[in-house]
Parts: sequence; C-alpha cells; structure tokens
Amino acid sequence: MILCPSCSQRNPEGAKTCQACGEPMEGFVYRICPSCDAVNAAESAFCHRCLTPLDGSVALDSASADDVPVTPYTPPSAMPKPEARARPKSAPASAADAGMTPIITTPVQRPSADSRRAPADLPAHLNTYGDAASTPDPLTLARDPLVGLDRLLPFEEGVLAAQRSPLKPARRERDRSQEDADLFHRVATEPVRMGAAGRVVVPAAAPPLPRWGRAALYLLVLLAALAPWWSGNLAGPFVQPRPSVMAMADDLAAVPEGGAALVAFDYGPGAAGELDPLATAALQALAARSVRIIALSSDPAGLGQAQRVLGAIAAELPDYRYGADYVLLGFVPGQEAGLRAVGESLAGAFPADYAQASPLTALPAMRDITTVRDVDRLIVIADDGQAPRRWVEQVQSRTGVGIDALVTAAVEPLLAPYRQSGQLGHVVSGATGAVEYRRAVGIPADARDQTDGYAALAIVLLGVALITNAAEAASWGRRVVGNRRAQGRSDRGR
Amino acid sequence: MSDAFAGLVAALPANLPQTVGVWVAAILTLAALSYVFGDNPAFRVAQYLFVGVAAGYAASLAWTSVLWPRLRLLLSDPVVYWHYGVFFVLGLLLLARGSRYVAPLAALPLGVLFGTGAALALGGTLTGSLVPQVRATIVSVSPAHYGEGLIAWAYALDALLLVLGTIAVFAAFHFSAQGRGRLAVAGQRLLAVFGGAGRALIMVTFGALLAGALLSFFTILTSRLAFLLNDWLGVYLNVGL
Repeated sequence: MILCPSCSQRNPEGAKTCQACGEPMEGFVYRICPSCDAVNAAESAFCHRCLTPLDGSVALDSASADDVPVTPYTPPSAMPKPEARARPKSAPASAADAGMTPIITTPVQRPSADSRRAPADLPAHLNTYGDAASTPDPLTLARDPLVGLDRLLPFEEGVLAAQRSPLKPARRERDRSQEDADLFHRVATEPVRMGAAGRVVVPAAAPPLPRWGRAALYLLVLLAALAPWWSGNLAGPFVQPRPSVMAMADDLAAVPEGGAALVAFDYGPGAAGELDPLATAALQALAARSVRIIALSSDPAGLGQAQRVLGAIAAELPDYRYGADYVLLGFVPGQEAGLRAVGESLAGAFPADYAQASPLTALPAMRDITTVRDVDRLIVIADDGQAPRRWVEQVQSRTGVGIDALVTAAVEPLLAPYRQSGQLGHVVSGATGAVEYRRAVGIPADARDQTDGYAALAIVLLGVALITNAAEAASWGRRVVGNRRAQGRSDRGR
Repeated sequence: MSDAFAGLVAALPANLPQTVGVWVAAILTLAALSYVFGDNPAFRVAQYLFVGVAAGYAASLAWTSVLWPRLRLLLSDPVVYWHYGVFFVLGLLLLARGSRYVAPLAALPLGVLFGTGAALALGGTLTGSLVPQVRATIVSVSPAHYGEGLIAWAYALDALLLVLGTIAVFAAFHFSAQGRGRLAVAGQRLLAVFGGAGRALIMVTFGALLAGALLSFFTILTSRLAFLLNDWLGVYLNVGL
C-alpha cells in the first residue's frame, strides 16, 4: 500500500493515480505495511518492523487491494489530535461517532504464517536477526523493542500523524531548472538604471534630518575640514603630548645610533592621510640619529606607503641612503603563516629586497640582523585591528619582542586590551597623535597639523548634538502639553 | 617614426608624469566626493577603476615580489632551493580546479593551505590572545599590592573596575530560563543588574569606536581637501603661525 504524495491517501500497490485526489502516483515516498501498519520508505522491500514483504505479494486477509476503502483528503487542521486517537479505550466507538473523518480505515493486519516469506527467500542480512524457520511468530524475528506494543504506546499515532499529513509534491527537476533559467534570464536582461540598486536595497526609512538639515550639516563639516586654511592655527599651540606619546618618544630616542628598527607598513592609501604624518614623525626622529629602518608590509598596498614615507625622509636627509641606512624588504604574503616566517627568519621570508632585488646579506643595512630578535624596536603601522593582533599572536608571543603600534583613531580602542596586558608597548593613534608626537620630539606647531580642523569638528558635533537634543526635547514637550490639553477638553466635555 | 616619437617625448616637460598623476588623482578625488550628491556615473567610474586597479596591482605584486624572486632562486640553484619547487608544484596543482577531470588534484594544496592557516591562527589566538587576555584580567584589588598612598588606592580601584567590568560584560551575554525559588530569583536579579552594567560598558566601547571612526574619516576628508588645494590647485593658504 502506498501513500499519495499529494494528499497522503493510501492507495493499493501499483496504483497509477490516487483514488482520492486523482493526482499521479509518481514519486511516492512512503509505503504502508499491510501487516503492522508501519510507514516504510517507498523503496523498502520489507517492513522495517515486522519484515513483511511490501512488494504487494502479500494479500490482505480482509480486503483485497481493490477493496481498500477510499477516504477523502483531510487537511491537517481537521485531523484529530493524537491524544484523542492514542487512547482507544476512552475514545468514541468509531471515528464516525466522534464526528471525525476516518483516517485509518484499513484494519491492522498481523502477518499470517502464509504471508511470511521463507527464510530462504529473505536476504542474508535479514536472516541474521534470527532463525525464521524455527520461529513461527514473525514478530520475534525483529529485535525492534516496539514490536508487540503497537497501539499500546500513546505516541505512535502522534508520530504517524505527521507522516500522514499532506505532502508537498516534489517539483520535477526539469521544472526547477526551467524556473532557474527563467529567473537568470529575467535578472540578466532587466534594465537597471544608475542608482536603482541603492534605492532598492536601502529601506525607505524616514531620514533623521530633513534635506536642508543634511545640507547644513555637510556644509558645517566642510567648513570644519577647511578650518586650517582660514582659522590661522588657533588650536595648535595648545596641543600637549599625552604621557603615552611622551613615553614612546622617549623609548624611540633610546635606540642607539646605528641600531635598527623593523617597521611594518600595514595600511593602504585610504589611511595615508591619517597615518603618513604619524609614520613620518616617528621614523624621521629615528633616521635623524642614523637608526637603520627595515621596512616590510603584510598588506599589498602598504609597499607604496613605505616607499613614499621613506622616500620623503631620505629626501630631507641626504646622507640617509637606501641599502645602507634603510631597506624595503617587500610584501610578505600568507598573513599568519607569513608573519610566522618573518618571526623565525627574515632571510627565509624575503629572498631579496623589494627595490633592488639584492640578497639581504648583500645589504649593509641588514648587517647583524637575521631575525626580529636582532632589531631594537618593532613598529607596526596599521589601519585595522587585525594586523597588530597578528603581529602579537605570531611574533610577539613567540619571540617576546616588544611591539609599538601606530594606528588610526578607529583602531586604538581595539588595541587597548593588548596594551593593558603589556603585549603591545606603546599605541599612538591618528593625526592628533602625529601632532602630539611632533611636539614630543620638539617640532613646533604648524598649520598643516590640522588641529584647527579637529577643534572645529568638535564644535560642530557639539552644536549639532545640542540642537538636535533640544529640538527633540521641545517636540516631546509639545506632545505632552498637547495630550494634557486634549485630556482636559475631554474631561470638560463629560 | 621612432625618432619622431623620441623627439616628441624629449620635448615634453620633465615633470609631465607627476602633473598627469596629480590631475588624474584630483579628478578621481572629485568623482569620489561627488557621492555627497548621491550615486552618479562619475562615482561609479571611480569605484570601478579603484577595484580594477587594486586587483591588477595585487596580481603584479604577487609576481614581482613573491613568485619571481623565488623562481629565480630555484632556477639558479635547485639543490639549495629545492623546497621552492615543492611550493611551486603545490601552486600549480591549484590550477587543477579549473578542469572538472583533474579538480581533485587541487585538494592537496588546498588542504595544506587551509590546514596550515587554521593551525597557525588557532595556536596564535590561544597563546597570543586568549591566554594572555584572561591572565590580564586576574589582577589584585588590594592597595597594598600597588604601594602606598593615594595612588595605590587609585590603582586598586582601577583593577577593581577592570574585574567588575569583565564580569558585567560576561553577564550581559548570559541567557537562561527563569529559575524558581528564592535563590534562583536572587541570582537572576543579580545577573540582570550586572548584565545592565555590562551593556552600558559595551555601549561606551561602541561609542569610542564610533568616535574613532569619525575622526579617521574626517582626517581622510581633510587630507583629500589638502591635496586638492595644495597639490592640484597650488593654492596653499598657510597663514603659518
């Protein structure tokens, strides 16, 4: 007996169409055991519970295949609760008495001795369950602990009810392919205007500010950004380096003349405006004391930044020459694996330098330096939190070399735990950090510090916060007063 | 023809490449800034150019800085640098993914790649982040541990705040069913109080991150404006205090 894939109606073996809904019986997925009423997969040859053959060779005792009563389709919402059907003693005498549509009309049939196959007909793996020939009761063939407890356990009906629910007919593979092809054709040929994607993706939420408000905010931010060009560097003289910046400046000043610093330029052009001044300020102080700078990058875009910053420093210090005083090792791929290789051997990670393609042993700047342990300082300049973290995890934790980080302002809070734990030595951030560092090493204030821009931005943001909060408070007050007046009018009306 | 071309090149100004570069950068900067008026073709052109140039630059760098130096060593002295040959073979096996029939050959280099990367990342995270960070939160809250005087009490208070803050943030991520009994209810209320404090600390952290990001973006804006005004227009209005 097989189940209709559309309405779960039981149909006799070999049925082409469902006797209840008329749908074709192709692709049915369940087959009902005529003996124990267990649900089996469609391809099963034997019942998984009582080992009765399911191929239709067993004739029903009380009804032939043609006499199987047809039950109409019953939606799941109209099906009786499992508890009601699981307790036959307390249930009405019949489903019809209870006003329900009978779902199971085929009486449970136990396999008779004739309906069972001989052990010789059974597959070998099924015979291992027991000697069927010496055991007259087929139920003992199966070692299923539920055998014999049918209809006694309260949950069987509940379990089977879900399987008898209407099954969604499986889509044919050809239909699915055709639908995919149609969808692809529609997406590929649909004309899209410029900007249409943005309007579709971004939900049409109410803007936080009206159009004129946004325009005013843009204008104020632009004026703040242009403040260094019209304000006259009013805030610059008031900038004082923080103790952490002073400590880093002191530590870099303690690097002996002729010492070496390994510098990782792990930032791209997008952060150049923020990090180039910081890198220049820190490395210029080292180069001025003839400290060798060994540069590398684990970011492909970082090599360009290294070339520009080191080139600018060398342009101001004519005696500071490539190969003798500073060298660019190149790009180290592989992220964690690459940094691990750098931590073990610089020559192993870089067969040659980037600019001259010379072996590292041929470069005077690399004398006495084979690993990161041989340098005096290790400085990581990064525009994201991942690069310093990788340096700490792959290099600092294995070699114990102290790492200083020059990062963007957005990254500094992410590195605070590493600085607190001592894994990072110093962390200086942002363009303001560059201004502080220049003050710490004695460089006077300059309009290019952009300090007036930050001061103007702070004023703009403070003003916007005050105005918007005041407007929100006024709006809230108007709502409260309006509600009270409405309440008063309502009370007077009564 | 070649002489005429050489003469034309010689007649060009020496700083022509720099001038062209500044003009291209300025036009692309303006195209990117035009997004303030909404999505437009100029912004899209700049966006696509950036993606394409970045991909081309990365491919070029991979060859000039990574592959070619090692290939040259391998070809010059295969006995010493034989291990580079192994890596190149593994790299070539990756190309097998392009063909359905030999695609399984790519499983070996992919396995090496992902296995090594995962092992190094996991080991580094454990020894470089997790263990040291947990250890850093185990601090003494006794003022005597930090010396004498008011500064010792300040350090002790800082350590106490660190410990309480860590517990509070952990409590913010505690989810459990409502218990029964006085003890369970009291525990739930205590967790709710700590969880509220932890959420407040998380908000402060997010606020710090947002403020830092705002400063970074503002710095980028000022740097591009400085480029436009100084390098492109050549109008440097430095009043120079």
